[in-house]
Amino acid sequence: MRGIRATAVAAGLVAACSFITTSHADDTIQIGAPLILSGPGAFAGEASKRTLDMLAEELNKGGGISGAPVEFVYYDTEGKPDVAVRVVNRLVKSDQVDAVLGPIASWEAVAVKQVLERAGVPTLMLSATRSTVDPVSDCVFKLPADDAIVVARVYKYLKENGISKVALITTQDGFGDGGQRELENQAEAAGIEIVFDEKFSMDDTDLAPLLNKIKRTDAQAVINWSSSRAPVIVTNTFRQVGLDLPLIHSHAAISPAVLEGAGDNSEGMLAAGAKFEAVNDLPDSDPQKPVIKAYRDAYEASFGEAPNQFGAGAYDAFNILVDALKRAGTESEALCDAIEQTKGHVGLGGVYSYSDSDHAGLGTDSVVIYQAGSGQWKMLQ
Amino acid sequence: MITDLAQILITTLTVGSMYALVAVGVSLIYSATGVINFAQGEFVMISGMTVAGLYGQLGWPLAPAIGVALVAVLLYGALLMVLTTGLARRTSLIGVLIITIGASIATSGTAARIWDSDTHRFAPFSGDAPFWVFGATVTPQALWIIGVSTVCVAGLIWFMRSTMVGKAMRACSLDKSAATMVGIPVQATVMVSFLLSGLLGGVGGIVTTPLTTVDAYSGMLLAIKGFSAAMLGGMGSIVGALLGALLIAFIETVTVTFGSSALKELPTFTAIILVLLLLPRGIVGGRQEAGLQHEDLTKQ
Amino acid sequence: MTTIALPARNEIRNNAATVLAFAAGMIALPFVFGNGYYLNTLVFVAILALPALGLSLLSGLSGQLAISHGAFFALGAYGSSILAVRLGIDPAISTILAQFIVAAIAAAIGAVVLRLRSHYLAIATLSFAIIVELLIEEWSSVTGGMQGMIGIPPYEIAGMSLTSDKAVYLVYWPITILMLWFALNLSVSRVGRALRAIREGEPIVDSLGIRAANYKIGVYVVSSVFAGLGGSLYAHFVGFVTPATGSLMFAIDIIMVLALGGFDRLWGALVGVALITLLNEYALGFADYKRIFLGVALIAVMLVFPRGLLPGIIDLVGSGLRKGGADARRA
Repeated sequence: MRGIRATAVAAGLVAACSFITTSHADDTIQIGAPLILSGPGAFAGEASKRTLDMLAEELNKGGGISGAPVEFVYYDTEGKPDVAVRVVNRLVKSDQVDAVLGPIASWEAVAVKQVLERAGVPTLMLSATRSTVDPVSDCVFKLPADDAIVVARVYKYLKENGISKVALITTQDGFGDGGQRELENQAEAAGIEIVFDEKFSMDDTDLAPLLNKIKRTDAQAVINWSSSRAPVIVTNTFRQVGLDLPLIHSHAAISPAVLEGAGDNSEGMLAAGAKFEAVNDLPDSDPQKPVIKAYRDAYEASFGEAPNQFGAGAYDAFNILVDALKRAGTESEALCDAIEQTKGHVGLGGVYSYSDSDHAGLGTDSVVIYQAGSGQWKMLQ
Repeated sequence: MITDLAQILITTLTVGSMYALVAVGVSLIYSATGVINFAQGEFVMISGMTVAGLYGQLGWPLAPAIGVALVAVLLYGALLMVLTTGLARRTSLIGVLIITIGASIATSGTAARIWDSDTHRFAPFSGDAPFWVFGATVTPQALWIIGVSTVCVAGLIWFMRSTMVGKAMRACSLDKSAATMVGIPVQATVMVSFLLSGLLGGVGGIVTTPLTTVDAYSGMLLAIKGFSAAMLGGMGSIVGALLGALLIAFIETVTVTFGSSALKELPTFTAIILVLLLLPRGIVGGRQEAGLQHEDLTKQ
Repeated sequence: MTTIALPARNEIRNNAATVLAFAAGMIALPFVFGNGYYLNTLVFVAILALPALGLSLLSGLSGQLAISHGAFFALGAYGSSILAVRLGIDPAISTILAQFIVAAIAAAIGAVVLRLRSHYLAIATLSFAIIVELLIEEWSSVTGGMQGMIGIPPYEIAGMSLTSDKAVYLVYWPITILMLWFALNLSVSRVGRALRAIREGEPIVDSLGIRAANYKIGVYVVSSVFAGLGGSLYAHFVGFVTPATGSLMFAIDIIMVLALGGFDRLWGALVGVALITLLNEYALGFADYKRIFLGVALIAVMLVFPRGLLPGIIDLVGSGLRKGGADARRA
């Protein structure tokens, strides 16, 4: 009797699992998109999803890729590495997608790299972390400007302005951690001395004690490497404790939401990132300007609000992938080679050129310095 | 040095007041029902999100927005009461704890659907131009937090000690069957505990959101801080919960000031284990039988 | 006293038959269905079943709730990964060494906190879990900090890496089933009976000469090693660990598993893990709705079936059958 029950448990497990598997029509090109669609980072995944839907609809209206429509399979990674691994497993083993765009959060990207590598599915990561493409693996590429080039750009700016002693504050999460390592690694070569280096948590309610400590150092500028709501809290507290130093944020702070949250306190603060938010300040000669403008207008027309840099990453990934699909079709190895051969692709995040030794595609010239003024991000140089 | 001390004092009071509003709420419900309410932080989240939505985004005046937020937390408190006491008569203590965890998870998911999963905030009541006391930064909102919390907790202590309802609630928490025998409507006192507890959390959300921001998922962490504080002080005691909250805030602030910001919770939770071991009934000695009464959590 | 001390041979034999039937079913499965994806899903069930079985053992035998199983899962995962990656130890050996580390830490913590009961024990173990998470995050030269560790090697058997879902499945499920069998036997053994007696009233047992404290620490250590082993298996399967591995939310998930499966049912823990894993699969892409559904489902289960979903349904079916039988006799 009990033996029967145990076998029933086993049979039940199988029966339930068999419902999970799905199949798809052969003529559509399926692209998996593991994105963060819930939790504090959902705005990033949401903008990417909207962008991809918009682009896929437009492409399919024009007949798809040689007659084959493109279809996205979305899964929510919840911003958790283990969920990301589950959904990517499902994309490559059950849905058997032709390519993957995502994930966005760096800790998710690092976690899923191994699964994607083993499966050999062509992948364009939407996360900034460099460790997904260093060391290079055959079929994994990445889009956004990473810590390494943003830090290099920040240090270059500081040296140009005669600043050599900096204080670092970084969040206790994957993003802050990655930034902190890169800031430490590049400091010596860039001639920068780090005089203060501390982490804080996203849940910290009062940062005044931390920032007060910086007052006692001889730092000439403060670099804050944090994402989500942390830049807002840092900026507000920074002014409240009366710190009178340049405040430099990472690329994650370049969004209208940060300016809105910080209000007047944001006046004069700096950040480094892609040219995407600076469309009005770009000279007409810049090849990115018309591309950025067209995307911003289309996004605003469809969704009634301004896009963010995460949507921009998805846009670039989609176009690079579609371009490669047109040249090579869906066969994995040919598709990977085709992506690798992408040269001088003008996108929203920069001009991408991949090679067999570089799957990151962007150089330091894709990053510019921003300054906040009257509630807007303006390009400094 | 004097600046450090002044800053530690101010920050301890501000953060301690935030924790206290949650901890006292936890304590109130515990002493009325023996339930640890994991969903206590949701009161703060609900009221913070409501005011941020109505006042911050839709541009309502502040007063009606606060009114709606308080009504929302009262309703939520009543719902929690029904779930954890009314319907759960046959459920074990672990079961009730899980009901409150379930409520917390479902509430954060619902809030993320009603609003979104972004961070929200609204303008401080009296601007955010700081002033300095002995070199320490004080924001007007910090004064609001400290002031409102003090009034709430003092008012509650007065209520419990001096009014008939309050006395009846204390009687119930000490001995339910004896209270029933002398004619105290036990169910009504339980109801009052949940409503008051909800109000405290709701007020917390309203005064702290301008400083700390709020999102749909921020409730659970607050609840953990709150019941750690309540337990540190002595479960079931309002004064204990207050002291526990201030102590946790103090330890955190000192760690950040003289040590590392990233490690601020290490001494806090070490202290909790130590206090539980050395003073099993908390700093002020909460309900004597608290630890022994519910020996077996799975018993129904 | 003699009734407590007698080993229940019948029950042990009964368990062996049930476990064998279950094992045969599970091991035959990948040969019937080849799809890599649900084998992959079932590997996760095998892994997550271990901490759930451990906690079920603890709560079933001692009536206490610990929130430290996420932390021991993390210690098992990180312990084995650090030994394998930083010191180059073979993963199988590092896994075993990691369990000794977990056992030692559990013994030390247990000796201190098991004096506490009920909510106080829950908070103390919760505090311990938070401390472990913080130390993992901060000791970044060893643990990789917030970014976690990647490149954790898979197990090797006879020179072959365990990387395919089928191979991992065929190694992990027997391990989980062995642990289940061990847990079933432990709970009907002399020790298990003594623990249940302690649960009924410690002073009485003390007077019978059973060292209650030692038994309690013992079952806590065993229960924690279940979680630790799960962590090691997890790390060598997915190849990475981060501080989110075995975080506080994970500990809460495990408690939910017990709520579904019943607090004192070892088989129930297995069913609970399967249910939660399936729910997660079906709800992929709907995280907020999943939260709402899971939250409401937990509340409903606890209100309708206070002993857990599985025991509740079994009771319901049982009473239905009896009633049906009685009706049949009457007719």
